Amino acid sequence: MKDQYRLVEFNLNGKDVSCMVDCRASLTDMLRNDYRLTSVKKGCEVGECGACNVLIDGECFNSCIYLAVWARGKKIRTLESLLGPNGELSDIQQAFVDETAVQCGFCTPGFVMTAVEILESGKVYTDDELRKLLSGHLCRCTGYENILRAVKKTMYKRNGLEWKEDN
Amino acid sequence: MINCIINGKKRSIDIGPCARLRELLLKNGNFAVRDSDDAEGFCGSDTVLLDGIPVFSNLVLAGEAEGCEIRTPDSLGNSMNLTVVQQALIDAGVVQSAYNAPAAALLMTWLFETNPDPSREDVKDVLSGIFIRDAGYEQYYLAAELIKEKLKYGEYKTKIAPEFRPHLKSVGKNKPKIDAPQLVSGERAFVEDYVDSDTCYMVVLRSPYAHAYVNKIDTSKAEALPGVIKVITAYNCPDVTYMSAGQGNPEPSPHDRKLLNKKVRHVGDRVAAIVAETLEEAIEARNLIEVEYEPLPAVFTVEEAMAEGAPLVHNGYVQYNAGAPADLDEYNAKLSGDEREGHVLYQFPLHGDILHNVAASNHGGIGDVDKAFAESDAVVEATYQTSQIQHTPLETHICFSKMENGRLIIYASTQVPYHVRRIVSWVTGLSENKIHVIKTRVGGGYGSKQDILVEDLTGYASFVTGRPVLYHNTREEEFIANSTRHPMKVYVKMGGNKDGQITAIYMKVDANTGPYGNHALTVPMNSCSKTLPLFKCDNMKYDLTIYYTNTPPAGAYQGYGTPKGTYGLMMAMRELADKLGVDYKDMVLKNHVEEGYMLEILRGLGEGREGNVVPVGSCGLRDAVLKGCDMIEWGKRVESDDPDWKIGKGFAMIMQGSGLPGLDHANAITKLEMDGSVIVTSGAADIGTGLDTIIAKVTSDILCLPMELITVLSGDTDSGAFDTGSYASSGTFFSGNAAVVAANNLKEKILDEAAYQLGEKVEDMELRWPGEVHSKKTDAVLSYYQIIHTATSGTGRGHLIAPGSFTTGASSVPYGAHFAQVAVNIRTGEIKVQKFYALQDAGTPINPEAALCQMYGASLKSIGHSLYENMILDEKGVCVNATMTDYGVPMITEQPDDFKAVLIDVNDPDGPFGAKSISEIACNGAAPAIGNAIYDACGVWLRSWPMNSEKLLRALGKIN
Amino acid sequence: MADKLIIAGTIKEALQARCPDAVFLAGGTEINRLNSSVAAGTLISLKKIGKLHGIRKDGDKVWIGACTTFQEAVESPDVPVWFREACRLMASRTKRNMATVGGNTAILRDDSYLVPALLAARAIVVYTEKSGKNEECCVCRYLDMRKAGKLGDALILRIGIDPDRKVLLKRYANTAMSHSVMNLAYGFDPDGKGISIGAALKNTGLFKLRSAEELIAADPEVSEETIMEWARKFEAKIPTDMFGSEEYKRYLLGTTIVKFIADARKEVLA
Repeated sequence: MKDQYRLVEFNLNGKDVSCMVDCRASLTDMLRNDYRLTSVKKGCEVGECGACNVLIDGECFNSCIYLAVWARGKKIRTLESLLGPNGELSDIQQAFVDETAVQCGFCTPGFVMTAVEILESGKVYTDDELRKLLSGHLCRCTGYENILRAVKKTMYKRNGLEWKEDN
Repeated sequence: MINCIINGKKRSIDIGPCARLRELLLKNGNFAVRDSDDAEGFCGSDTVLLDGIPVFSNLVLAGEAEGCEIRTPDSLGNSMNLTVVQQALIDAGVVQSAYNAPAAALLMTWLFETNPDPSREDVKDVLSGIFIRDAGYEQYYLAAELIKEKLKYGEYKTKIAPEFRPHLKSVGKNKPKIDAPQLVSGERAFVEDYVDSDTCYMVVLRSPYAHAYVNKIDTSKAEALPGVIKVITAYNCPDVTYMSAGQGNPEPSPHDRKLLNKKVRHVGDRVAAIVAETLEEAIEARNLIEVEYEPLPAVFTVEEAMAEGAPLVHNGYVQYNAGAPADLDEYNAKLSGDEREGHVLYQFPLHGDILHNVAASNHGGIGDVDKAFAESDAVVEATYQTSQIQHTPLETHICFSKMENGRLIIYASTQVPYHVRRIVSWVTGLSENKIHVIKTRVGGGYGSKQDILVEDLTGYASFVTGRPVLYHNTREEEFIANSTRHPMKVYVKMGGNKDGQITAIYMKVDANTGPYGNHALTVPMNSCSKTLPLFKCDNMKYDLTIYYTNTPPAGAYQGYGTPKGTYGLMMAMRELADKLGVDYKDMVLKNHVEEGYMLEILRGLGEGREGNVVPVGSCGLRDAVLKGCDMIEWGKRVESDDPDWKIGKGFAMIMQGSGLPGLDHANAITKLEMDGSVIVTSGAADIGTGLDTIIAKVTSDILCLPMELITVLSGDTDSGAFDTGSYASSGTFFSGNAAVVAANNLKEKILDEAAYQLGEKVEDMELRWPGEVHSKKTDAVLSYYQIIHTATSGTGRGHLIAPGSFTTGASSVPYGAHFAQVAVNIRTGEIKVQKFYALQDAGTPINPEAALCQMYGASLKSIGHSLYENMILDEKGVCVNATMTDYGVPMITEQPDDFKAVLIDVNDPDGPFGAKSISEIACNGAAPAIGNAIYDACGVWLRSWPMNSEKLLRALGKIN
Repeated sequence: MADKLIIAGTIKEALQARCPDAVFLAGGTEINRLNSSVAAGTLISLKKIGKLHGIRKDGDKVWIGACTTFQEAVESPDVPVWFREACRLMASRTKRNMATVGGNTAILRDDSYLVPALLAARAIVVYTEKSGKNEECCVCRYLDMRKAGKLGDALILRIGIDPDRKVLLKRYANTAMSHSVMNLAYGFDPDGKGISIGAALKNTGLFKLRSAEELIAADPEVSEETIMEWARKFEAKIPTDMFGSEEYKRYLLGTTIVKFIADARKEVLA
């Protein structure tokens, strides 16, 4: 019992933080309960749906199957870090809104975080590649097309490529 | 880790031993253990039982509780399962704003557990450590009797309060306040109970100077501190000029401040707001802010403010939204126009003159007072001074706000949800649909929560940071940075003839509004408009001038300006009666107004516009005076065995209003739900007075439906409809009447729908208890359930929803008379109120037991104002007694032993079921009743508040 | 606030824990209060020390343990009526449940509830310092020593009062809960002799009013004017402040003693 709690020091959305956590807790639980980062959604809790995705040292993970204690020394980013200083939406979030890629919205934060990883790679992917990269997410509302479009449009924009409707 | 037993359960709480026991209990979820005094050991909101003994949990360290048994109010019943004690407190009507009602319930429970047959002294003793501002203590004695009877006989034997209107089932009956179970059992109710766990905290850096420019603010060190999210100053806040009073728009108060100003105008004025992850971080950051002040000379009294060459509190420029004078440019050229000053914007002319520190003024009258004085048999004149008084609600000002999907959500402890929304909209630039104000239960308002004092800054902080933000005044801030009663100098000249006829009255009122003009005109105006109309007098004149000064701000306070005017007028009248050799009672009876008397004096006393001249409506004034004189045995002298103690009697006539005719507006929406129950969505703001219950009761009697089937949702700007708010005694009259209109509209719809469904004529339909429509023609019956079920079926005609709006030109004035018997010690100057009788005509008392509590509470409060309470400023404008102990509110020990509240039965033609207002008026009588009694006892006049022993000794010539 | 709390189980433990940054903690109504006059890093809680509790009669004295709460004293049949009344001057029952006799004595506030009465009663303070040896002295001596900067570390164990002694009390305060502007007590033996007057004067201090006692001792028929004159000239510096003017306070001081003298005379005659 003595070792049940451990101090975890890590970087969360740009700030150095530390937290006493139960060794059995998931990163999802820590982010939601201790930091009230409600963008991190609990969907399946078995690493299937991607709703809980966050960036860990730049790479997207299912935070529900990642132990909180493993966060030690890591840089963790959640959707909350994307907002501008006065709460402005980032380009990728705005694209989700513009492309009607948000319906019930539960899967959106996880999708956006995967999109961030894709966008920050600086690469331009084909549709097939994008589909594969986004395949770790479950969405029951949209049928994925609008999500794909939102990510693709933003990718084009960021890479200075011209967007045409038949792209 | 502290191990203890909380409410019978073993707990281990992770907290340091030097934390306060209350913090430990909060960690354990016992949030009804509240704090009203920052651990002063005064108010008792933090009372718990420690090993079976009542203690202040803020004064016990967590470590001292190791191994102890702790009992909190949570150990009593919940709202669905109340204990005998809790139910009796509710039934006696004492659960009003109720911030510490759970603590009181715990104390009363403990009393009966340790002593099944407590005496009045025992009740007084156990409640001696608890501060009740709203209901007074008298009905706690009644509650104790009820508990005793219930425990002994299984039922109450004592009658709780008189009941009115036998033909009605809910109105005028002693039915418990509908929010009382939630409040007495300490369930979630107040703003602090709805704070999200990820909230940030905001604190405010306040000015140490009474008057200074803020030339520079260096926030860099504060901002560099971990956890600090935002520092807001005059240099980065919106350039929006407004003011804090929650009054009808456009307001009769000058807009003269911004969120934060580049000039501070009182000690405690806002300099910067710091938002941080934790309270500790916010406070630490506050200490790191460096401010460069340029101190300016200050003025603290009206005399200083009006002096030639006095420093100017506002020295920018003046603007008008309407009615600007032609020479405004010339006028403005005489002011400094310094950018740091900001400007003063009048919505329409209030006859202010900031070049002479005058925020507003008003002059008027009827007849010819000079001629009448010259022809009078006797004339008296004197000046009466009132002091600066704080409301001291048990729940200090608090606000929690957060952003949700671009909308600003504000949890507010307010009397004016819609004005909060409007002013926050001005400050943030958000349109009103983007702001949701949720009025929670309010832990005491008394006018201080009619001002938007914390919601503007808190709401803006959430808006600009996107984070949830909690702000909560310390008790000291409540004193120095909130609002207070305007100190006023009231000069009264009164003439009369030997037959007792008053021939002329002149009032000159110089009021101190402090640094900002919220309520500047209207509070002082009430000192004339709610006093002079008591008199049948053809010659009356008034001059009102309201000055800006550098004291802590003044604002609305229960009674508004009336207690001050009443103090001067009734004292002067007693003096005049003596001078004329007429008995004061006879003089009162000869001069008071009666029904039908046309009140010409009101023409000049509108709120910045022409007033309504109306005849006196329903009026129980004479009954109150006669009955009170009988009760106190007017004219019979009482002698003490101790020659040092002298005993005297006094009384005062009183009046108020019931909202502002032509200005106030209320709405309600009443819906028949799917099983035939009803939900009323009202714009009203119940601040503990029982307004929601009034709405439920009138709805119940109109719709012939038991109160249990009626839910009232109020004070929520998203779901309700506009209401000007709870002030000016408007709640019962305006919001109550709006509910009456809505219920009547719904009744029409129900009758119409029933006729349609039955295929009969609507004129044959009638509503019947308990919630059905009956055909007088065919004897057919449809329950509300049947009606609404059919109406909302696939072929129905729709949900039965009825709005109701209420405005009026009618003025329903409550009247009354308050009586005091006072003992004064001519050796020591001590003053004791032995008897206090409050007699009031409130029209139909809709909640009789709660009405009595309102009368007791307001009377005791105003006894406090008259004898003890006073904010004392030093020469630099620092309030030196900004704690509960030093300030001096009355507790149960100060309550008169013989304290009675009597409802005079009068039916008003315009009020909802004949009701008028009840509570504000009860603040008006104590000062003159006590002042007159002191004179009656020992022959000296105490013409300033507080009427205390030093002043008495001085008046008696014992000291110079 | 403090960051260390020591719960002492015995007097020895309490004394051992005493260090420059530590103070004894009894009822907590002063130390744990907002704007407390006491600041310390370490608090030594005395509540669990059994020997500091209890009221007992022993010979010609009633001994009140230092950790006796005001309310326990109020409820004790062994305690003389005037002492119970002095405890009752603390108007809040909840506070009386917490505040202790020893704590209120040791804290020596200028609006003290008990010290004037104890001075008038010529009560005995039993205390111990680091040595652990019990010492005793009269309250007035204790007060003088404390004023001289001594006994600051002493732990009061109990207070001894003579049940036959008569004490009259008068407390002036804005409201019953307010700090008192003046709390006075006038003590005398059943024969009217042995007069002792205790005073707590707000923003001035605690006093045994020896010069007034001497005036009365010298002339039991002392005139009202003589006492009023004494009060006007009483050597302590009495400020004009939020509690009242200097003149007001001196007047109250004088007139109350005049009243005490008259009431004491009546009581002796009765």
